[in-house]
Amino acid sequence: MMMNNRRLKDKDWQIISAYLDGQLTEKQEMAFEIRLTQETELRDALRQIQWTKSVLRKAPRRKVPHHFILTQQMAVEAKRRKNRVIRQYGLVSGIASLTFLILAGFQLLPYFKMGMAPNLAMAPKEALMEEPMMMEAEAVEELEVEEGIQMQEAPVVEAEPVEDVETADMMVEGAEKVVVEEELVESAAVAESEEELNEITDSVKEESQPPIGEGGLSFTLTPAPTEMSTITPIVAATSAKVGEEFDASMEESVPRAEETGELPKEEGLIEEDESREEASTNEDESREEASTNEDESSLDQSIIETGESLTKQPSVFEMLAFAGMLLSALTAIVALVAVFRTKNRS
Amino acid sequence: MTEEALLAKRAQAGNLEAFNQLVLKHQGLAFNVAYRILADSAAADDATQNAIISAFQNLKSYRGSSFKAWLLRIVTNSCYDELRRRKRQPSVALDPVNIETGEEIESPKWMVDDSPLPEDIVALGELDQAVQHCLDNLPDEFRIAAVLVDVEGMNYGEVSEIIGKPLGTIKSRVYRARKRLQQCLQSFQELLPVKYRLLSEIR
Repeated sequence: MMMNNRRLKDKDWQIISAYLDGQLTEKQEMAFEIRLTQETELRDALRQIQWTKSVLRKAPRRKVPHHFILTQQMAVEAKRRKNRVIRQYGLVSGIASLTFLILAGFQLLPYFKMGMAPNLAMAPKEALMEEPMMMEAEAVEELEVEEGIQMQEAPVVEAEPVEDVETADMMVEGAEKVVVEEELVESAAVAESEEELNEITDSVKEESQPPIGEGGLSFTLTPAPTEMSTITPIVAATSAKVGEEFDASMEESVPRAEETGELPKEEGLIEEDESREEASTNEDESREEASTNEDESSLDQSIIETGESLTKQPSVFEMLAFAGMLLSALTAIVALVAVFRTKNRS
Repeated sequence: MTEEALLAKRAQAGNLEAFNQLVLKHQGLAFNVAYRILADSAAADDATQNAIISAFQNLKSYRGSSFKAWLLRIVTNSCYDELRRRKRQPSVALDPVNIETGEEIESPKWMVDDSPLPEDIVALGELDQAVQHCLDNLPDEFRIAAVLVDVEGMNYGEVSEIIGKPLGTIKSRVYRARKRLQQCLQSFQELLPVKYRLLSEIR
């Protein structure tokens, strides 16, 4: 007899099952029994589930094929096998962790050697190249500050023997000279060839040369640190040269003017001296410039190399090392989980 | 403290004899549960033996509750392992043989649909085979719930402890399993002994 209870819902089947297993509350049970008296389909379904349950419960039991007790030897072997599994997983985990640490150490070693923060390696090459430029700008600023300080100090020290009117004139000239020298700095920065630079220097020198016999200020320009600068050495050398010439002319001209009240020297002699000094100064200048350029080029090269080494694409070895790191970390975690599961499995 | 709890405590202390007494007490239940789940005597034998060894290895994790429930949990886990292994590596004999009788099966069950054909019903014949056939057609979760509740007669609380699922899940699985089993077993009704037929059950 096939019975179809298609109108019953899943919830009805669940209540029937729970009713048979005594899982309903007293109230639910009473409500269900009232429904049973009213609904034929529900009654039929209850009979079917009751029958199914009884058939399953009456299913014959199998005899065990043998006893499953453990012998002493089996017990020892079982304990040993569990310990062996834990040791193996533990060993795998340890090796994987060690491999991870070694590979991670190799990855980070270059940064420790350089004494740099690892995140610097990620900085773009442009950022690395900006640093020397900033240092150059700072050096120029320092030079300007020094010039300003010495401009204020120099008239007090050097202009003492000179009369007040002359001092005022010379201060004005000195200020003009500083302005001219600043122009020189800008011109020198732009100038590319040595000849252009010499021409500019000569023109400035002629403009800034004080009238013979009038006395003047002493400008002692100390060259700023020029290792990282591309402009400063040229400026410093030129300024030093101009200052020295100015000092020399003043040393010769001022005492004579005071003592004799005549023109200190004939123009021909002065020109000879100037030409000699100029020649020697030009030699020094060219030598300094050459050495500075050499330093600059080597420095730029090292900076570029460092930047390239830090920003270059990872090599195959580095990629393999990174993959090894990931793999070893993963293996270590999996092995640890396996140890944990083996210990707690039941 | 019950006798079972005392034996379990002695077994935890390393007494193999106490452990074996517990095994002897529950081995029949363990094997039958494994057999109904796996539908294969040899596989049930292996699963039960593995479960017993695993229980001995992990006696420290036994917390003093029902030893039967704790042991059956290991058994069902062992059966799940075997079922997963079968799904990963399905193996079907080209010439199917009935393991129990050694006779060749003319109409193996993988060659027919879920509703049994007359010749299959004739082959099954007895109640045991009918029950096992219907259990085999259930999903694993429903089958385990039906075996534990209806075949072995355990209450929902024990089954919940064994399977590790809440009572609501057990209730749901049981009623769904029963609904399917009822439909399956009805198709065998005419071939079952009279005392097992639905009409005789009702009246």
